[in-house]
Amino acid sequence: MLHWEIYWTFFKIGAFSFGGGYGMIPLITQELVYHHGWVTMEQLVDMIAVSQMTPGPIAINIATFAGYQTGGTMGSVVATLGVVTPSALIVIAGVAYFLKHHKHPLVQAVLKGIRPVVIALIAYSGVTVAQRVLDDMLATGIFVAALLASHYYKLHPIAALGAGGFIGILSYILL
Amino acid sequence: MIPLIEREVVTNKGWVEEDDFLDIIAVAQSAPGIIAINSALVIGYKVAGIPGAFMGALGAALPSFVIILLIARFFLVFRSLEAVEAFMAGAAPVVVALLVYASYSMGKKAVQDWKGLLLGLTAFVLALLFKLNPIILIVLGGLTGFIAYYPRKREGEKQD
Repeated sequence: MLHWEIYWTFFKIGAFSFGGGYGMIPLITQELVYHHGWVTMEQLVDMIAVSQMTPGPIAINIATFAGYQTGGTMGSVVATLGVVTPSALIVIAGVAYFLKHHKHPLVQAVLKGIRPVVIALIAYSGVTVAQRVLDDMLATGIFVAALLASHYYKLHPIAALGAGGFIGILSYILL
Repeated sequence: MIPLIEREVVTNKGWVEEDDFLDIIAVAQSAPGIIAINSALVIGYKVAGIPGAFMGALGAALPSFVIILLIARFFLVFRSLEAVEAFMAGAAPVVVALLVYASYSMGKKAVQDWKGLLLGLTAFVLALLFKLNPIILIVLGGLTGFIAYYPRKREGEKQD
């Protein structure tokens, strides 16, 4: 029963996530943290960090991780299957049609409306996580430094996370 | 990941033509779900039908799945160690930065005019104030896009 619920939850997440891994984070937050309470906000932040630092699509990584945390190995299997099923159905049902019509004005118009919302939701996720995570000067400093380094030096996410973690360990030893 | 896919399926295997590949990526990015999985599904389907699509998706998902499963098992055991605790405390603010930066860099492409900007800001405020379900906001965004961008009056013309 739990596994079926995990599958269905990730099916919904897969069906409504646009724009890759980051587009999935608002939906995951809503479903796993707020709706089901399967993972805490802290655990979700852990998952995003680990998923970003390991190879492969972030969305698969998060689904596997969250599924495991919620329902063990079987949970990770059904979560990953769930997040992939909508894509598989869409692609198999209409691959020829989609390849011909993805430039259709109707499809483009709908996508043009969806994309800014996805961006807003990603920004909103940033705010939600910030409220939980940026609780002292050091954390705020790391956040600002990581943001500037991403923007001005195109610092790779893995390097940024590694550097942040390293500073975390340093401050633990020194302070 | 896209350059890697391109080298394998266009250059090395010759499964799809360069022009088709661009279309496939465009579809994979527009359709909901995971871009890498979507690409694998479409390319697999083109090469070998439904079994090809399944095998493609399986191949694209399996390495991540196995790696994360291993990490998740150990991570949950080691998470309470103080060194891991300290590392994650330092990495968490970076996650915030990555989310903020992703919305900025993706937003530069996704928001193309004042209508898009207004739509994005409205969605942000609605999410912030009312904690509306993201799925509802996405559906409303699609509807708004249809109303704001679909050229109904010019049926004779070809729009690109």
